Amino acid sequence: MDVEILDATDGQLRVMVRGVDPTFMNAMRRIIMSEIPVPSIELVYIIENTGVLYDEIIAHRMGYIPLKGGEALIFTKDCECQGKGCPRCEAILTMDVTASENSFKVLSGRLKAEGSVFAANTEIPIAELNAGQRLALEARARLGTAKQHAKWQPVSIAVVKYEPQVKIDQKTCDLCALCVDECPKKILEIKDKRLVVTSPLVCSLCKVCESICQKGSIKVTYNDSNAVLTIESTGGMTNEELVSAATDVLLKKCSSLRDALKELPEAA
Amino acid sequence: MIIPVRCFTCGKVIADKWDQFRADVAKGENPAVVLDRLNVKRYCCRRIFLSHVDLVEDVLQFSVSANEEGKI
Ligand code: SF4
Ligand code: SF4
Ligand SMILES: [Zn+2]
Ligand SMILES: [Zn+2]
Repeated sequence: MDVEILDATDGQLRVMVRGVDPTFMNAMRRIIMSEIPVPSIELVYIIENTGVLYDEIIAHRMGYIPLKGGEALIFTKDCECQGKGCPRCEAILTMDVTASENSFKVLSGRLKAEGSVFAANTEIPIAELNAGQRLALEARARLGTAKQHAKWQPVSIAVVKYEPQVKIDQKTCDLCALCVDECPKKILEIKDKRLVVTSPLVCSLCKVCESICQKGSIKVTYNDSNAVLTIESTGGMTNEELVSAATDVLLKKCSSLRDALKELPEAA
Repeated sequence: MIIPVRCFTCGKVIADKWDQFRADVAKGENPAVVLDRLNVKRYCCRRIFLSHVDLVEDVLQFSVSANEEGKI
């Protein structure tokens, strides 16, 4: 297995993994998408809310704020407190805002961390208040996975794409440039009397070029043992942290399978 | 009512970009250009910006404001 980082821009990470089974890459993708434990606000105690938004709307919006920290937290269901919630499985955030002017936006940056967890993005509007209206609350963040609820989803995209292979038969191609004009990704070009693919990885495997070519000189296939994994974090963890957290989850699954096999009675 | 915190479809955090989007579009800029600049690239996120009606502003008009002493 050979890993190459293609780029890490605009909050996205793209890695090319060569010589790997498609099922493994898909396992990674699915774990990043739905099984990485991250903290998210689970309970909101409203002390006072005189604004126009209902308590439920505010609580729901707060759940979606990406949170940072909380590395030492454990799942509430595995905790000694038996699901009641305690400092080992919960982190508290508080907020008390009284609007000083009309149309005052209460941003997530106003959440005060009382525990190990804080808002990753401080610019998210939670509510809008008129002058004198007050929003005071206490929120409790717990660990969870996106399998339970989308608010625990640490990425907005996690995609695996196989390496596209655009094969051009230079002998039969008559350089009519039909495919050059039709390719929606604009990656075909005629250079020095030859048809060339400028950036094969951008190809979306749409096969428009194949269907428009009258000579049958262009063929688009993919190599499923080379895959590109693209992920975009929502801000709670960095993309790199997400990949390593996903490998931890996968390793844990494998070791629990191994432990289960150890308990098998000795084969006769 | 108020801009959703995350995109309904992909889950990207979009609420933090709403104010900038609204201000730039109000200045007469093309929404497509503004969204590109805000790095909102996927059409699932873009449609939320384009179709959102910020009703909370209207609803606030009907709610009680503070009087001169700052009390409700
Ligand atoms: S498959 Fe589609 S994107 Fe790829 S080269 Fe052909 S036309 Fe372009
Ligand atoms: S459409 Fe076919 S013949 Fe024409 S340039 Fe493309 S590959 Fe060559
Ligand atoms: Zn506990
Ligand atoms: Zn989206």
